[in-house]
Amino acid sequence: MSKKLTTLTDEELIKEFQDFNTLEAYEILVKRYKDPLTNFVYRFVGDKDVCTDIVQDTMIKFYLNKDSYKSFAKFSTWIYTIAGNLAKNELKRRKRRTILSLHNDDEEKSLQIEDKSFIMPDRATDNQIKSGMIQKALLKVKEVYREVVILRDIQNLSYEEIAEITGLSIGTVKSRINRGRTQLQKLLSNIYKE
Amino acid sequence: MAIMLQDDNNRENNEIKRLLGGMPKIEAPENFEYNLMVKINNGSFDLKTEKPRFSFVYQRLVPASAAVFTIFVLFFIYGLDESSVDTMLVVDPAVEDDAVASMHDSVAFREVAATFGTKSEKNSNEVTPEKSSTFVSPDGKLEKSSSFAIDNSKSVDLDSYIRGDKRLGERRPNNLSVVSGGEAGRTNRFNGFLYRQNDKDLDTLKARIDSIKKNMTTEKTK
Repeated sequence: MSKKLTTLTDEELIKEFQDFNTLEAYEILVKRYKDPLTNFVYRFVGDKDVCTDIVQDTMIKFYLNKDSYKSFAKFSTWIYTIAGNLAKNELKRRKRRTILSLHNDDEEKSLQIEDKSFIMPDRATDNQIKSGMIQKALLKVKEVYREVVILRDIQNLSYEEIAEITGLSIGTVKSRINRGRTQLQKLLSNIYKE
Repeated sequence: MAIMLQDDNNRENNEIKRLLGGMPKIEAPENFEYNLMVKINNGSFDLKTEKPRFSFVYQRLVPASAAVFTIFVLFFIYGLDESSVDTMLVVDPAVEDDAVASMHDSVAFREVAATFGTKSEKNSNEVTPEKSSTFVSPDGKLEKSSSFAIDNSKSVDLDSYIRGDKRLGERRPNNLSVVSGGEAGRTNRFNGFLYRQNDKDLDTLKARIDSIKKNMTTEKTK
């Protein structure tokens, strides 16, 4: 049975989980999507701990609201939508905290990014330094552009999938990706001209 | 030129794509699934990133209602006087005391009071008429005349006088009473023309009346 489940597509697995409440099917889907979602959320939010919490919450939501998934949609777009919405909520909450906070926590923010344990070991290498700079630049890009650029250029999703995840038209997605890239070009002009 | 710019743009876009694609993939922690399944098995579904449900109430309504309450309190502490708020549209407009005083002192006010005989003004009948008045001189200045134009002691109601009535000035110490044309006890706003007393004229008038009376008596006797 287990072997059989692993060969199923995402949509078949969730159908199994919806119909028979098969926890194994759920676990397989979690295994398949935990890393892509972590990558996506981390690039979007820029904080490892928060990103892990978001992905955990995404999986819990998926578990609790499995029946809200409709079979005509792709499972990947559905789970990315949940993760994206939770990530946006987290960014909104951060903004509120920044506005309400009496002290300026800019230094704290920069320290958070520098302290990433998963970057630290190989940080000395050129590529790692570059990717750290790119991540910082990415976080400076406007939220609406950042999301689509990550989905397209990092997660390698199609325009159609991105349109479905974000609820935008394909044209809007394309123009936002272009604008996001332009903003990144300005921010990263020193890197990619080297 | 346009093609070159487009090429440059595409090249830069590809460069960005290459940079973003070359970034290391971030993976979930090793204990991710274990932690997740523990949460699910324990039924502890408190989402750390879930928006708090009171968020809207707390963020929008509470500050707004606090602001309204503060304005409400400040309004009653420093705002308009309560009486003026309640009766603003009901009460008569405020008149300054000086204006009221001058109105009561004025000759016109006494005239009106005497004419209409209001209850409150009946008591003011005792007020003696002014012997002087203020008038505007031709050069525009306010001047006070030494004596009023009509003096009761020197004025008569000619009709009453002819009828043999008493001099109105004695009965009604009011300037209106000395004006001719009005009947005793009847008070009109306009009581006719003034008759300025002149001793000589009065003597000649009396003399004429006497002569008329004499002529009449002589004719009757004849």
